[in-house]
Amino acid sequence: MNIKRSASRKAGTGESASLEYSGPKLTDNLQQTLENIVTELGDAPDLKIRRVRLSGDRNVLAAAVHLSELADTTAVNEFVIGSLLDQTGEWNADTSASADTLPELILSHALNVGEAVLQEDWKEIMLAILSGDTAILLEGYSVSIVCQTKGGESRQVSESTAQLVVRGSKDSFVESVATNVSLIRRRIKSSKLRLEYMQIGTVTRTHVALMFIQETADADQVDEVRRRLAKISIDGILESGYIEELIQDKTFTPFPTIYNTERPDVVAGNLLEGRIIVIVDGTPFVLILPAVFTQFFQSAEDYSQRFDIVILMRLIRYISFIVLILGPSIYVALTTYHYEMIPTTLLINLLAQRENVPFPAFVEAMLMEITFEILREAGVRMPRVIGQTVSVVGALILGQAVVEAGIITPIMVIVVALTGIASFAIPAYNLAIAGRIIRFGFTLLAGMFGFYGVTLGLIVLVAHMNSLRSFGIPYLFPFVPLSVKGQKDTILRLPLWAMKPHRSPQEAREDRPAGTKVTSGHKENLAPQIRRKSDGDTAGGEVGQEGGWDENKS
Amino acid sequence: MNIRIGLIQFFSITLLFELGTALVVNLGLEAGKDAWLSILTGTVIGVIVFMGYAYLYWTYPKLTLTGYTRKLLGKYIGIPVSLLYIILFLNLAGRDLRDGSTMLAMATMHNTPLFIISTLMILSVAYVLHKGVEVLTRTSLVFTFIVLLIGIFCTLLLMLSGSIHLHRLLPVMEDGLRPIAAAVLQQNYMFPFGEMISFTMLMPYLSNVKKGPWVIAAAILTSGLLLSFTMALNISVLGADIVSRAPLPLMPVISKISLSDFIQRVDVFVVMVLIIGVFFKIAVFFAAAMIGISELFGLPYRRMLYPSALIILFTSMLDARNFTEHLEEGGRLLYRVYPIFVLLIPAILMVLAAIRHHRSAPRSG
Amino acid sequence: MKTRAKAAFSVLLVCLQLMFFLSLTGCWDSVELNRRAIVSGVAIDRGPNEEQKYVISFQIIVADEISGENSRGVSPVTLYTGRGRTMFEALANASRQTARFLSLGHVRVLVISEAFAREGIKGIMDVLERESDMRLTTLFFISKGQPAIDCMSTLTVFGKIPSNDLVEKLETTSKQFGYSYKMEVDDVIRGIQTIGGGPLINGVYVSGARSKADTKKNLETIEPQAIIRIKGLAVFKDDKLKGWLEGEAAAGAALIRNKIKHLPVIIKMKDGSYVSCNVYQSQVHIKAELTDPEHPVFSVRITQQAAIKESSNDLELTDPQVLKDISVKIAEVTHQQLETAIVSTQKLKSDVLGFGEVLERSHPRGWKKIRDRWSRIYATSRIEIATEAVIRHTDMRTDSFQVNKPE
Repeated sequence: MNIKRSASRKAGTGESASLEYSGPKLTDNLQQTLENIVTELGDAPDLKIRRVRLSGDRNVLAAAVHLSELADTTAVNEFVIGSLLDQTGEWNADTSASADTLPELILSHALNVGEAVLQEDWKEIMLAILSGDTAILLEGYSVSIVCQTKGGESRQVSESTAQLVVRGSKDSFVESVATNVSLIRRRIKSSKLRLEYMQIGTVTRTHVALMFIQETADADQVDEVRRRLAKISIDGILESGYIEELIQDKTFTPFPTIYNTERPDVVAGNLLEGRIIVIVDGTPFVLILPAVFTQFFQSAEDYSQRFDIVILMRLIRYISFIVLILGPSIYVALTTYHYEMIPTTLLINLLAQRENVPFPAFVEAMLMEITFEILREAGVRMPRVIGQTVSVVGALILGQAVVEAGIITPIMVIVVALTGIASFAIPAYNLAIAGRIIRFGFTLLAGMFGFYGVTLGLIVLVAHMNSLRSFGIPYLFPFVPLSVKGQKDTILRLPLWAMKPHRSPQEAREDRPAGTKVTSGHKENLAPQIRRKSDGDTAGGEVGQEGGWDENKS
Repeated sequence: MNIRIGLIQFFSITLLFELGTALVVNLGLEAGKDAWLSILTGTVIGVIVFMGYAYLYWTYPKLTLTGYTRKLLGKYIGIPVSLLYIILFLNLAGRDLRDGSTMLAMATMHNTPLFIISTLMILSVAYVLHKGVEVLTRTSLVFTFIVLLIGIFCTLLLMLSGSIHLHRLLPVMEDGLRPIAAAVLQQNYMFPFGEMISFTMLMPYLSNVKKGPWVIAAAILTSGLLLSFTMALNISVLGADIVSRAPLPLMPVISKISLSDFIQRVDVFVVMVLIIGVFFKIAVFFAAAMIGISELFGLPYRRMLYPSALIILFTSMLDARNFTEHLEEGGRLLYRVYPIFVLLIPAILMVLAAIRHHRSAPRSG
Repeated sequence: MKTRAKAAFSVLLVCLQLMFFLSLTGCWDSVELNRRAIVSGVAIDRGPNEEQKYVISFQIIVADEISGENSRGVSPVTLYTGRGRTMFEALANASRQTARFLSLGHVRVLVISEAFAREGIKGIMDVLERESDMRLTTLFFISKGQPAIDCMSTLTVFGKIPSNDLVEKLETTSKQFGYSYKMEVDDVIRGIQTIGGGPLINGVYVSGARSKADTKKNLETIEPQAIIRIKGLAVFKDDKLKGWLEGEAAAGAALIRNKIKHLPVIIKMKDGSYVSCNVYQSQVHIKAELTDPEHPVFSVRITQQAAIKESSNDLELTDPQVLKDISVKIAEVTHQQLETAIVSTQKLKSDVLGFGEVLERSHPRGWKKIRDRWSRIYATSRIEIATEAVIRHTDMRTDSFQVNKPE
């Protein structure tokens, strides 16, 4: 025993799966197999083994193994053990006379459970037990019947907490993949909706579901997602963020290139638009990919409100993003470099405010921004009751005290508060975070070089965004490369009738950019190298290959 | 796989490249009030010259300038000529860097050392080129919108503040055609339209061989119209004399904007336009040089990026002691050196290409 | 993996380079607002000798006094004066007295003393144009018969900054009841360059007890002791002041330059009573004929729209004929104004009204022949005036009310 354990530990620390043992674990000796299971799970107290003797003419010893904390105990008792005992007792000569082996017979004639399979692979059996299923072992057979008895506690479907809407569906995803899939299936009753399961994480063996609509989604993209998911080698996946980080195109960027949501209606809408979703067990946040910049400015509510109002809202969100990244930097640049731009009366006000402030505007801005970030961070972690106190203390008292003490000018408080609020006006939290980080860079540039720094920073920022791709799709699509067709749902949100709701999958795909190149890194973004070798004599001209973008088609 | 750059993006990079510094400096003012006419004339010449480049491109759609130079002139003449072109592009990038930083220093950054301004600029350019030519052209699309928006905004504000007096443009052609012709010959046929030679290095990336050059020609024409419009605007706001004495006439023009004491001194927009223009101008020359180097020496594109950036930086720094000297030298180059590269060599190449094509055409078809 | 690590490294390298340069760079051009002294107005006087030719006074805003919480109850602006051989030297000398950077970005008003203006203002203009901080929209004034510094050192009732008060006065008068209009730096420069002419610049002076003007006492009485007034148009020939246009002549000049928005016109009726009108719109057309190059003939045609604002007599304003009579009289008044303006500028031999430009535009060839002698030719050239006025309405009443109106 001891030797075996140390061996298992060694195996566990190694690169391969920890469940690997030497020698066959699943034997036709029931007692031996059960011992193996107990050993492997380390005498787990919640491991329940129920031994039964099957009545009838095939008088065989059997055992049902499950983890009591994980499995649905009622299901195990009634449908597995109950039916095993009752139904085998009712077997008559007919059943006995059939040519099937006993496990097959049990599978076909007993067991009132929806899903039960024969399993000969030891690892799979262990995984099934660890997932809450029940394994039935029979004396004399080196095969197990795995019955689906997953249970255990899971959260009820409730209202979304992260993405609220005034009008729209009120359900949200939960931590269970099965429930989440059901929420989506309920919305899209199409035979084209495809679902694939895989398990990722050598230790956690987390269920990951991949969903897309056949024909609407780009087949290459689906393949690429599958490939990238398969390539993941990590011991554990505890949240969809892990997957996001491991499969996105490029890691050196603050911008998110994969969207996440906990709203089933958003997921359903994106599936219809041909995107692929990844559901991870254990988190209500579902990944949607590919995701471009404009997508992060869309809210679920955009499609339940009137389109003209939505256009206004969207504009406000884009403006908020600009305010968020440029607010403090413009203030710093204006007051320390380009004071002549400020209207005289306002300038006098600012001057009077600044008269007794000890810090330069740049330091002041940085101080206030950092203070604001601290407050926000504290507010997020606080229990809800204290959270309000913190925000009141932070926002009102600190803000006012800081001004009264003459440390910070009131206008700076206004600027910081504005950028803070602007960051909350952006529907996607991860984009807002990106904006907040960039804001610091811009403030620095403004403090050093005024508008010169800010302008250069903007160019570099846009270039950086242009270099990003999400599963082959340029991040700034449909602005760059410009697509007129693609503008239907960006800053504008055309009325639904104009967006052609009854389009065929083919048409739907044409509206989106085809990922001409699905890339996993940023190699393809490099400038091409024209080698001397490729200088074929092509006098006369050859029409270049037409890309997938609208502009090339025209 | 070669990268194909869409037509809209090519249009925008051409537009920004042409507007570049030309938008803010005074252009063709040897023609006085009629500067705008000389710009228009220069545009037409520019388009004609560009169609020559386009002919070369149509003949060798997969090759860059340095590529077909070697093909047509042979290895022993072709390689030195290609090298000269690369040096030309690096030099042009350096000169534009100097132009831009000096103008910035004159306009707002009085105390900041030129070296710092230039370094920041060339580092940003290098970063964008590090991301690739495609990223550069895509970025240009966004900034074309921004520049046009600023232009429309400022024009509207000028109209609203009542500063535009069209009669200052009159009488048109007071002294006949001669001053216009002089201005065109001195400046406008080369600057900024002659600089299109750098696009011969980028054109192999065009996504559409047939339409591509036409799109670029349209962009040249558009930029010529915009430049002409801007110059006419400058003169109609300030009068020809003040404009001719201002190195950056657009700045005082925009500073005339004053709307009920709230919107005033928006000349920082001009500074922004200047930065954007200079940026893309340097970037295009830089990219042309980089493509040439990587093609000529078979080096990876990125490896030579930062060394070349250093070369450009020091070219710009050691170029001249002051701006006047720099401009003087620019004038000389414009007269004596650039025409060789912009007109003479391409013309020779065209003739050679035509002969070759003519000879090979009957055989193949 | 390797390429990714390489890319990471290069990104890191770029960042390092950037940080390196950023740490090396100070913030050379960055000036905190509380290190700035915002200049709102500048007065330029002629010093006694060449060593002190330029005496420049800067009116600097004391922001604390205007909107700060901790004001000390002192004057809202302060004045620093510098002297020097050149403008820049004077500026530097004034700057040395202040604790802060003199910031010219918000100069709204520039007043030049009459003495200096008579000597020539070219030396002043260059620095105004060259300095990137200065704005071209700064307004120009000539202080009439007084040192320019007086205008900068008079406290005003409305608005705590005297320069702003002056700007606002000009804006108001240019829109209502006045012949003064905005004269900005570039207008003046173009004016100086006008062949045979010069700029027209608004005059300004301080009326009342000037000795008390710069203390708060000026504002303590209901009627201010001293008031800044805008009056008269200074006529320049090239860059030198030649004379003043006032009253009718000034109004006429502004009319010809087409700068007037509202102008009150008072006409005397036959019975000795007065009717007041307000001219809303004037349209001016100037045509030039150059049959004889030495004697160009100009015709000025002006069409005006007016409304009756006051008529306390018994005129029957419902009668179109009466309105017609009045409009003829308005036209006569306008004619008189224009004529005075033209005659006085001809006397001063300065084409401030811009007839030369008209000639240049319509007869560029002929203009070239006479441009060198233009100021002399202008003084003798014939200018025909045709005026026309239309009364649009009589405002809120027709006839005036009468005492014991006969049945």
